[in-house]
Amino acid sequence: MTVTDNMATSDASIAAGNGVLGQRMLRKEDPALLTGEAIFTNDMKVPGALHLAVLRSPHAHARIASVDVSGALAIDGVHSAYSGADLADAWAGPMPCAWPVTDDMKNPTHFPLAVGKAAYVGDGVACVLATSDAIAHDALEAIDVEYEPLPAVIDLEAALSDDVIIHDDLGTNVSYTWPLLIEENEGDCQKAIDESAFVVTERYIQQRLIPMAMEPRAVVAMPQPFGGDMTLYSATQVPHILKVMTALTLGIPEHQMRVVCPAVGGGFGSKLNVYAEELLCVHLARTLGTPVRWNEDRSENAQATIHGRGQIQDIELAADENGKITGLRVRLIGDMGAYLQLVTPGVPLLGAFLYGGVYEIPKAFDFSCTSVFTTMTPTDAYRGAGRPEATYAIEHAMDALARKMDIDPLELRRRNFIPKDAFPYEAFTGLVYDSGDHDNAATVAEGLLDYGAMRARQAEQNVEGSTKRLGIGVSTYFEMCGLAPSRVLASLNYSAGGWESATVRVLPTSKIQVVTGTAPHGQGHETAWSMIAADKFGVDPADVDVLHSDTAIAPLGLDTYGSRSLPVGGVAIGMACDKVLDKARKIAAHQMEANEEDLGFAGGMFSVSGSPDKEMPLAAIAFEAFTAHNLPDGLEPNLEAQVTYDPPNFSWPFGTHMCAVEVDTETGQVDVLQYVAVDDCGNKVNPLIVDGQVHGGVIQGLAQALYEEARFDDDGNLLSSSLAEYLVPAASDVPPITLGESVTPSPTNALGVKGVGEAGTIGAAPCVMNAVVDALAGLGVPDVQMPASPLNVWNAIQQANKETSQ
Amino acid sequence: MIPAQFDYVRAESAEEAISLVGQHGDESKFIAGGHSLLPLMKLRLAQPSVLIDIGRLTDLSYIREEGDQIAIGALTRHMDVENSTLLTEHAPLLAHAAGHVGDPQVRHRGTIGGSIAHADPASDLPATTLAMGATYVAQGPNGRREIPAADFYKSFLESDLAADEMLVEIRVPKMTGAGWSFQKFNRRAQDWAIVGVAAWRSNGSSGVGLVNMGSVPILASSVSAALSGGASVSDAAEQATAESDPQSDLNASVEYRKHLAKVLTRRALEQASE
Amino acid sequence: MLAVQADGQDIRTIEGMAAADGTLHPMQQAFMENHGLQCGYCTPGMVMAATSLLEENPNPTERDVRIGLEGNLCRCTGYHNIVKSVLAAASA
Ligand SMILES: Cc1cc2nc3c(=O)[nH]c(=O)nc-3n(C[C@H](O)[C@H](O)[C@H](O)COP(=O)(O)OP(=O)(O)OC[C@H]3O[C@@H](n4cnc5c(N)ncnc54)[C@H](O)[C@@H]3O)c2cc1C
Repeated sequence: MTVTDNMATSDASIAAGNGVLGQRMLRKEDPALLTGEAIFTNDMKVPGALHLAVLRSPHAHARIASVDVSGALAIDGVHSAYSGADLADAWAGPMPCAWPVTDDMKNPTHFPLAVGKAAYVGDGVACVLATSDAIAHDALEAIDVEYEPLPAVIDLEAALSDDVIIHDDLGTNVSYTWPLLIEENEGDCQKAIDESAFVVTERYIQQRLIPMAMEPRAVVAMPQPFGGDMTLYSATQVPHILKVMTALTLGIPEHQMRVVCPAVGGGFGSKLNVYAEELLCVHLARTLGTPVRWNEDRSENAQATIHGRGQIQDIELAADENGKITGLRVRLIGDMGAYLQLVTPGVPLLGAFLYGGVYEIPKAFDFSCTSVFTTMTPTDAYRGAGRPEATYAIEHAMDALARKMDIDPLELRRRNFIPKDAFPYEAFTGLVYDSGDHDNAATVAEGLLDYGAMRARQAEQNVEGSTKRLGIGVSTYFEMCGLAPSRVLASLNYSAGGWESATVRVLPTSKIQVVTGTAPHGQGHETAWSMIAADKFGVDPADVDVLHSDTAIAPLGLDTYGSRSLPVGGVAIGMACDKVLDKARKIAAHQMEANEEDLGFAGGMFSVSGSPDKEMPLAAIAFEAFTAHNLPDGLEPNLEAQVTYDPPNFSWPFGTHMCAVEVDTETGQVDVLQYVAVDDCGNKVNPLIVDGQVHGGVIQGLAQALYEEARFDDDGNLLSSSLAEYLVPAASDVPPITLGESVTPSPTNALGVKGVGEAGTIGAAPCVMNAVVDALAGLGVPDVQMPASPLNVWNAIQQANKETSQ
Repeated sequence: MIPAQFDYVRAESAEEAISLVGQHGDESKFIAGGHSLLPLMKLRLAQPSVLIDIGRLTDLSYIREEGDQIAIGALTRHMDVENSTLLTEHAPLLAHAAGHVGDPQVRHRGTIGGSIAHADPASDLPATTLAMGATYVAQGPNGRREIPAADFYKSFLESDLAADEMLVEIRVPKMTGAGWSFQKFNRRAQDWAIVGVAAWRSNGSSGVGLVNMGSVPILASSVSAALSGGASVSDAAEQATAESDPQSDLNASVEYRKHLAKVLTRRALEQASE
Repeated sequence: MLAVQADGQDIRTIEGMAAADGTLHPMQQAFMENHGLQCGYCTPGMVMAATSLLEENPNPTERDVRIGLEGNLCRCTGYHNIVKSVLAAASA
C-alpha cells in the first residue's frame, strides 16, 4: 500500500558487525506492552495508599467565598479533606512557569488548589483523601463551596479589552507582548506590503485542542518511612524537570526527591508539565507519611490537563508579480488560559521563527505576539507546539496567494523554495537551516499523488452544479527540532538548557548499559538507542539494555519533547560510545602491546593492522577493565563514559504533504480520498519507528483539520469534555497514508539525524485545509473555519452563496 | 467517572424483574446492555439505588416470524438484529439500522429493548421502528399490553412505559420486497446521528422516521402524505421538517439540521424508490 | 459493563492471549511485526477487538478492519499500522 511498506524484518537479532542502523528492527518494548505485562502508573499496587480526589470549580470565574469540608469528613473511609486555603502554607513556591518570555511578563501566582478565586471550570478548589477512589469521589459531593460567580472570559479579543479582569492583582489580562525583532529591517515590511504586486491579508483561528493521550495522568507518591526520601511515580514525559520542580515548590532537598515514570501511555506535550495533583500527592504523602495516589478520569483529563493551540493569527503576505515573497507580517493573539503552566508563554515563540516556511524570505518580516489570560483550561505545548500554528499560517496563506494570482499552489511554492545548494542557509530570522531539499520532497509527493492527473480529474469533476467537489491540498514545512542549543534558549529567556546526557557502560560480561536522560512514552527509545550502541560496538542490539525514566538510575537529563530525543539524546549516546571505545582502545593497545593508532575496531573486535593474529574482542577488554589486573598506568578500572551534549544548532526536518479530498456540498461532509506524506528527518535509525511517528502525527494533524475542537459555552463550560463530544477520530474515520522517501542528513550531528516526533502533525492540518478550500474555491468560498466539520463547511458555502447572490 | 453507590440484583425471569421494580420503586432501574444507563451513572447524571439486571433473560432474546409480523425479544442484542437472516429477508431496514448503532462493542452489548425503552430521539432504532409502524409489547404486574410505536414516545427520554413495566417484545410488520433506506449522518462512524432518516416505500405507501430531529423520534407523516398525493421525491423531501422541532448542539445549528433532514430524506427516498 | 454482570462467565483478557511458553498469539505477533503499537496503552483493547473481529470475519477487507475497530481509539499510530497488523494476522 505504501512505498516504504516493505515488511519489517522479522529477525530482530540482526547480525553484529553491523549495518544495524537503518534496519526496520522490531521493537524491544512490544512484548511487555502486548501481553499486559507493562505496568502503567495506575496499575501499581500500593498497599495502604490513600486516594486523592480533587473537587473542581464548576464556574469559569468565581470568588470562593467559603469551603466547608466537614460533610466529606463525616463519610466512612474519608481520611482528610482540604481547601486551597488549608494548604496555602504548604507550598515553598507557586506552580512553576519556566519560560518568562519577557522581563515584564505577567504571571499570576497560583497554587495546586485555588485560593480566593477559581479561574476556569476544572480549577481545583478542594481535595479529599480516602481509602478508595470511589469513596473519595463520593466525598467530593459532600464538600460545600460557596462561590460568587463572575463573568467568564472566553473570547480572546474580549480578554484583550480588559473589560473583565481575571487576575485582579495584575490589572490586565495581557500576559506579554513579544516581538521578533530583526533590527535592520525597520519599515521594510510595511514598504513591501505597500509596494508589492500581490498582498493577501488573512485571519486564521487555531482552535483549542485537547491532547487526549490515551492514558490519563496518574500519580503515586511514596514517602520513605525514615529519612524523608520521597519517590514520585508519575505518568509524565519529564521526570527530570519534575524532580527539580517538586523539590523547589515543596522545599524538599533535591537529593531526597526521586521521580520514576512507569510505562507512560502517550503524552503529546500534555505530560510535559508540573501539575497540581503531583504536588498535592507529594505534599500530602510527605506530611502524612503514607503513600498517596491519584488517577485522573477522562473528563478531568479533558478539563484539567493542559490544552493546546488556541491562537488568532493575522497574517499579511506580500509577493511580487512573479509570486516571489517580498514581505510578511504576523500578529498573534495567544490564548494562555487561566494560568501560565510550565512553558505556556513560550509556545508562540517556538513558532515565531517558522512563519517563513521553506521559502526564501527577505528580512521584511514583522512578527509580534500578544498573549492573554482567559477563564479556560491553561494551554501549553501540544505536539508541535507553536510550529504547526506557524506552518498552518504560512501554508494556508500561500494557497490564498496562489488563488489570488491564479497560479498553481505547488508552482507558487516552487518559485519560493530555498534551493538545495543554499544550505546551510541563514534565514531571515538569523537562524541557520542545516540542510534541505524541498524540490525533491515535493517531487516525490507529486509523483505519489499523481498530482497532474488529480488536477485533471478535478477539472472534470468540479463542474457547475456538481455536489461532490474534489480538492487538492499541498503543504510544505520546515520544523525547528532538536530542542535545543542552550544559548539560543537563553536568548529566548527560557529558564533551562537544551542539552542531553548519556552514560554508556560495558559490563564485565560485555553486555552494554545505556543510560539516557530522555523519557520515552511510545517512541521506542529502548529499541533505537540499543541500535545506536550496537552499531558502535558491533554487538547485537539484544545485548544492549537502555535505562531511563528513573532519576535515581538516570540522574541527568532533560526528557522527551520537541522532537529532541534522537538529535540531542541519541547523538549523546553515540558520543558516549565513542568515548568508551577510546578507552577500550587504550586497554587493547596495552594488552596487545601495540600502538593505539595501529588498532582497528570492527565487528566487536580490536585488531592490530599488519598482524592478523593479534586481535582482542570487546568482551575480553570489558573483563580486563573489570578485574583491573593489567590496565595502563593511571587508567581508571571501568569501561564507562558519560557525555552531556549541547547541540550547536536546532535540527531542521522538512517535508511535503499532499492530499485529495471530496466535499459533499449538500451536507458539508469532507472525505479524505488520498494522503501522501514525504517527511525528511535526515538519517533514520529505525525506519519502522520513523514511519509510525509520521502516521500518528499525520492523523493528529488531520484530526485538527477535520474533527477536534475544545468548545466552551459563553459561561466557560467545556462542552467537549468527553470522547463522545471531543472527536478523536477512530480507524474508520481516517484514510491510510502513503509515505514517500527523502533523506537529507543533518550536517550538525554525527548521526545526521533530525528528529521526527512532530513532523506529521505539522504538515497535515494545512494540507487538509488547503484541500478543503481548494474544493470549494469555485463556489466563492474564501476559507473554512477549522475544524472543517460538516457544519463549518456548510456554513461557509451558505455564506458564499449569500455573498454571490447579493 | 465512578458511579454513586448502588445495589445490584439479577432477575431470573421477567416476572421477577417486574416484581423487583415493584418492591424497590422509583429508585430502581432495569439494566439490559447498560450502554445507555452506565454512561449516565458514571457521570452521576443517573443515580439509581438498585439495578435490576435483566441482561440474562435469554428467553427474551429471539427473532421469530409471527404471521405478517416479525417479533423480536426485548433483550435481543443489536448485533443479532443486524445479522438476523429473518430480518434481512422481511425487514432489512431494521437489520441495517441496527448495524449502524454505535460501534461493535455497543452492538454486542446493547439491546433493542433498552434502546427503545430509553426513548432517546438521537438513537437509531426508535425512529426506525416508528417509521416501520412497529408495535411494542410491555409487561407489568397485571400482564401484557401492546403499544403502537406512534403512541409510545412522550417527551425527551420519556416513554409510555410505567415504572413497573418492562418492554418485552418489539413487533414489526413484514416488508418483504419493499424499497428502503437508512441514512445516518454523523462525524465519526461510532457516533450518534446528527440527523438520521429511516424510510421505506411499497405499493404507494411509505414511512419516514427521523433521528435527532426533536425531543422524541419523529414520524415524518407529511412526507408520506406528499408522496401519496403524487409529489416527486424531492418535493416530498421538502416536507421532512414539518413535524420536527430540532435543537442546536456542537455539531449542528437548527437551520443546518433542518437542511440535513431534507437532503437525507431525499436521498433515502431516492434509494428506497430504486 | 459491571464486573458483577460477568459473574460466572468466561473472560478473556490480553494476559491470556500468549501461550504458556510465552509464544505470542498470532494477533500479538502481527502487531509486533507491523509496529501496530507505540505507547501501548490502547494495545490490549485493540488486540482483543481485532481478535474478536477475525473470529466473526476471518477475511476482512481493509474497510472491514477499520469499521470493526471503530470502538477503540488510539492516539499514537494513526491506525495505519494497526490496520496493517490485523490484515497481516488475517492472512497469516
Ligand atoms: C459509545 C456508545 C455509542 C452509541 N451509539 C449509538 C448510536 O449510534 N445509535 C444508537 O441508537 N444508540 C447508540 N448507543 C446506545 C446503545 O444503542 C444502547 O445500547 C441502547 O440505547 C440502550 O440499550 P441497552 O440495552 O444498553 O440499555 P440500558 O443502558 O441497559 O438501559 C437503558 C434504559 O432503558 C431501561 N431499560 C432497558 N431495557 C429495558 C426493558 N426491556 N424494559 C424497560 N426498560 C428497559 C433501563 O432501565 C435504562 O433506563 C451508543 C452507546 C454507547 C455507549
